[in-house]
Formats: sequence, C-alpha cells, structure tokens
Amino acid sequence: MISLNSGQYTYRIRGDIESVEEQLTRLYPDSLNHEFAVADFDIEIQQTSLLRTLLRPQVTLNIEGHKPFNPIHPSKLLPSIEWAMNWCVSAYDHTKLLIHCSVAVNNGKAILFPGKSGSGKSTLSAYLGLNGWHLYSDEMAIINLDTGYVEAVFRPASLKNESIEIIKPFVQASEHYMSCTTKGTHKGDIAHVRTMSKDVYDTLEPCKIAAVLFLNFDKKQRFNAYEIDKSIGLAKVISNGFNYSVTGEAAFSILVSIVNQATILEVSYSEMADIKELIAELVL
Amino acid sequence: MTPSGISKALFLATLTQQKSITELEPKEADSLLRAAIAAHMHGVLANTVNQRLSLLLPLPLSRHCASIHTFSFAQKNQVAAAAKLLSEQLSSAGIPVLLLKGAAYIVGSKPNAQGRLISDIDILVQREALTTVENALQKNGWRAKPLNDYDEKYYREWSHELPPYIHSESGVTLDIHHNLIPLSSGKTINIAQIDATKVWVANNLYIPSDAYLILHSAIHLLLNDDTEKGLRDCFDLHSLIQGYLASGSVDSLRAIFIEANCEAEFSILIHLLNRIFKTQYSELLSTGVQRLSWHDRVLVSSLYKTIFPRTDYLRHNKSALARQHVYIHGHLSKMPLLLFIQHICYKGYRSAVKRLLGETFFKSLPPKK
Amino acid sequence: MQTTDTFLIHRLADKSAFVVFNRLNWCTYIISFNQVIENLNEGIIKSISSKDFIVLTAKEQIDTLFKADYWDTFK
Repeated sequence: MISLNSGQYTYRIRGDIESVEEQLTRLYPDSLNHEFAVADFDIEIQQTSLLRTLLRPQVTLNIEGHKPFNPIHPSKLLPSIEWAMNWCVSAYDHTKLLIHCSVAVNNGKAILFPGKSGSGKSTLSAYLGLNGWHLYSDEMAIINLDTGYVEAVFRPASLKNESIEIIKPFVQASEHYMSCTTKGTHKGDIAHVRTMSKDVYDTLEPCKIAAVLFLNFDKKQRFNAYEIDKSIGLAKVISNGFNYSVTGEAAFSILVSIVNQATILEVSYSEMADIKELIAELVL
Repeated sequence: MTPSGISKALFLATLTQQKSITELEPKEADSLLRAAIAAHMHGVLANTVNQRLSLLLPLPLSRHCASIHTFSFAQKNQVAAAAKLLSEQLSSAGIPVLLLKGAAYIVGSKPNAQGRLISDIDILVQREALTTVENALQKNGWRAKPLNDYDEKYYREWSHELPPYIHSESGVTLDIHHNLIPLSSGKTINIAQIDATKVWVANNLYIPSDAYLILHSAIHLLLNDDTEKGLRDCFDLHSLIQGYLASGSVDSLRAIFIEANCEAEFSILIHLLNRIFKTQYSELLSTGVQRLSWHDRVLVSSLYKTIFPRTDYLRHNKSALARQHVYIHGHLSKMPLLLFIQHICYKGYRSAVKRLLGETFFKSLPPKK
Repeated sequence: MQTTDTFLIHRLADKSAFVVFNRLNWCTYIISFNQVIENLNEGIIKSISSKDFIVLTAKEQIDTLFKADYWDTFK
C-alpha cells in the first residue's frame, strides 16, 4: 500500500503496486508513506480473472468501490494510476472549479492553457516547468470559487509520443525526473516528468490568473498571437470545464470575474521559443 | 495491507445518526466514508453533517461532504429542468409524464430527496402508448441506447421497460417503464390504479402516490437480482414508510401490496427494515405483519448480507451463497422456471466467459449490423 | 453585476457580450453586444435607439433591457 500526498489531495493506493513503486517513489519524493488516517481518495488495484492471469494478465482499478475504467495490462499501470488520480478529483471534488488545462506560474501570476490533446499544452507547460516557471498543474486548473485564484498540486506532467524526446534534454537539474516510457497506451507512448522538488512545491501560494492562452501547435504556421473577445474566451473556458455545471452560480460569477481581468489570446506556433517571450510579458 | 474496516453495526449507526461521525476515530471515519461511497450512500452520509459539524472533521471528510451537498443541489436543479422539458415534449403527444423512483423523490420533494443521488430518470407509461412515446422522444432529440440483440429482446419481450433512451444534447438517460415488474412474474400491478391515484406536480408532470412509491421501491429491492444499491433502497423505503405512517395506516399500505399479490414481500420488507432500523419497526412487527416462513426467514437473512457493498472497509461476511440465493430468488420471482433456466444458461455462459476472459470481453465485440 | 431571483447578468469588461446565468434552470447564455444592437436597430426593442444605448453604463444598459422585457427570452 502507498500513501501519496499531492499537496491538495491525499491518495491511498492499495493492491499490487510493486511494479510501479520505484517509479512512484522517484516521481513523488518526500510525499509517500507518511500514512494518513483519512485519505481524500482510495484506489485499489485488483486482478480480474483466473485465465487472464495466466494467458494475458489484466488488472482493474477499483476507485472508491467502483470501476469506471476498462481493465488494463499491468504494464500500463503507471499512466493508469495517474489518470485515475485525475479522475478522482474531477469526480469527487466540487468545492473548487476544475477546468481542463495546464497551469504555469511565474512572478506570482498564472497562465492557463486550456485545450484538447495535440494543442501542445502539455509539452509547453512541461518545458516552462523545467525552465524557471512553476508548473502548478498539468491537467486541470483548481480554482478557488471565492477568490478566483488557482492552486498548485504536487503532480508530474504527462507527455505523449514525440513530446517525450522534445522535453528530455531539459530534464537536467536534481529536482527534475523523467519516468520510464509506457508504450502502447490508448493515448500512445506516455512518460511523466517531475519539474520541482517537494520543498519548492510547499512554498507555492495560490495565484491570480493573468492570462488564458488557447494554443494551436502547427508546424506550418508562423507565430501568431491575437486577443479574442472575452465572450468567446468565456465560452471556450466553460466548454473546458470539468464541473462547471455542478458548481453553478459560484462558478459563473468567478469565471466572469477571471475572464474580465485576464488577457485572453489565441496563439498559433511551431516553436516553443517563440511563445516564451510572449508569455514572459504576460506575467510582468 | 488490508484496512481493518468498520462493522456493519457502526456503519448503520452513523448513517442513521444514532452515532455522530465526530465520535469516530479517524481510521473509522475513513472506513465509513469509503464504505458509504461504495454503497451509494455518501449522500445520506453528507446529510448527517451540517456546516458546524463539518468544521470538526478531517479535511478529506468535510471536503467530500461539501462536494456532495453541491452535487446534490445541482442535480436537484438538473432533474427539475429535465423533467419539465420532458413533460413539455410529451405533452403535445398527449402523454402525461409520470416519474418514478429517484426522480420522483427529488421532484416531489420527498423526505429522502435530500442527498439522493440518481443516475437516470424513470417514467411510467401505458403499454398501449409505447409507440407514441418512442416517436415523440425521437422527434425531440432522444435516441435509444444500442444494445446487443439478446438484451434488446429481453427488454422488449420479457421485461417491464424499454431499452434506455439518451438525450443527444444533455446526455440524460431515460428509462421508460410500462409496468413495475415483468409480465412473466405472476405479480399483478394495477397500473390503471397507479395512474388514477397519481399526484400532480406541475403542468404535465406527475408522481405516484406515496403508497405506490413504496410498492415500487420494495419490488425493486426484493425482486431485483442486483442488490448493489440495496442499502440505499432500504433507506428510501424507511423514509417513505415512516412518512406514510405519520398519516396513513399500515393496513392501507399492506392492502396495496396484497392487491399486487405481494403480501409475502410486505412481511419480508418490514422484517428486513427491522433488522436495519430496529426499534422503529418492533411495534409494527408485533401487530401488523405476518410471521415469516422458514424460507422467507432465510431470504431476509440473505438480503441483509447482500445489501452491503463488498469493500475492505466494511467488515462482513462476503457470502457467495447469500448472493446466489438472492439472485435466484430475484429471477424466479420475475420469470417462469423454463424461461429462467434458458436465461440462466445464457447468462451463465456469458458469466463463465467473463470469469475466464475478463469483464470487457463482450464489450469489445463489434456491433452487429 | 445584476442579481434577481431568476438571473445573474453581467456585461463583460470588453463590452463584447452580456452573460446571463439562469438560476432556475442553471443555463448559461452569452449574448453578443452586436446582437443586442441589431435588435435595437430592427426595432425589436422600441424604448431606446442604439445610439443612445451605447453610451449608457453597464448597469443602465442591463436595466433598460429589463424594462423592455428583453431578458424574459432567457427564462
């Protein structure tokens, strides 16, 4: 059994985790095995069936007594646990507004990168996290419904396919770590990257959202950034919400306030270096 | 390492508020939370925690409770809006919308509505009106969920409901019932009487009378092969029956069960509720309810075992035999022996395949053209 | 922001739209400012001209639209 503290949320992970324990220890240094009496979420790894175990092994993730996912091959366990940890938050925490995006912070100000796979948001935010920025979160913005400030989680970034090789050269400092690559998941090859130490994470404060960037990664495009109407920005942010319809009035009011005060841009790019200058300006 | 878990007794005592969650040791509170979520009872658990109590709880617990309150409140609005829209959509086809189960409790503001979490909306329509209903739904953006041929046949020929419909925009799932129990069961539910005694909520929207809400919930609990939500059904029933007895008599309630050829089920139900809620049913047992046969005593015992979720956080007897007993009883109540054997052989084949090759073996088959 | 029993209504800071949350059915509406101006020009809202509307403050604009029963569309 593993007790995992991601700062915001604590997880109890039970069952046969031997195959991923070493990786988890390196992705979550100083945040495993301080056992807590009450956990936010409980995940159990269960075997599925007799013959499967002999022929083609499968495990299921039992989350709080339910099984929301199809079974997986044990080799896919690491990314599956990471996905399950995200799922727990979006399924059970409605005390915060949760938006599907990555969040990078510098100079006490946050930039949100909402959007679908392929927009390059994970690659960019991992790059930023490894180059002087703080990666508050790779998958979802955790927004305080009273203040509109975004909060950090101690979780690694998740990279797919070509992004893994793109980011590898930047994993240099002692507080960085890139996990092994899990091949052939339904999203392709996956690796996880820790961008900071637990000590640094513990210093991170909730921050104001300075900008929301909708990214479009296109090798053929020249760099192009333009401000869009706040009405379109609001619509796009809402469409990326995990629990907007659950958090109701409070979510509406705080999102309007965030969209009113933040700079909202659409950015097309082919090189990460092009964007870096723009976003540095946004958090001055 | 397996958690030590809490006893069934402690689990029930906190859910029924005989013990406050703040009296529990942290590890016990943790087990309580996990068991409640596994049992679909976290809404009931959250009801026992008000704002003041919440401050005394460990953060994970207070956060879960606050989230459930938010979710439950949102769901109440969503169900009301969906029910209103549905009632308008079927109004032009001349079909009244009679809600059942969870949606009925929420829209009808029943005592168990608070924290009652639902996953779909159930309605009851006349059998003769089924085609009209399906046409009206399809015109308004509802689509039938694709099923394999066997399940589709089971639904339409043997069961008491159509395959589920899903709204293409909102994603709401709709279960359309034309009876409360399959035609092959030998039980006779007076659908006309349910319709005649239905309670108006708004415009074209209705819910059954309290007595029929209780009957339906009891049938669902006792004659269903799936007891995953059994404990929740018991809490629903307890709440509805206590509400009913505040102004109605046990004789009039039993009369509804007798009319449905479910007198034995009424006794079984009260005996089962007595095991869970104890003192509140002892008077009823001594005056208004039959003694049980040996078989029915065993059934009550089996039911009591199976309504609790299988989780390491609840210390209890995970008796396979009890579950088997309930499964067989559930099905025999619903279909003649010959059909049951055929159904069991097919299901048994699927089950054996699942056990050997895994749950999703059938899900991965390509859809038939 | 304007709050009633039924609605929460804002005008966005860049004046690109009015945004409405219906507290009864929990729907969110985004009505572009240009759409409202078009409605004014078409005479759908008769009480004021688009020229006079544009110079009003956000609160005044929302109130004017209340008086014209404009928000009833989103009930």
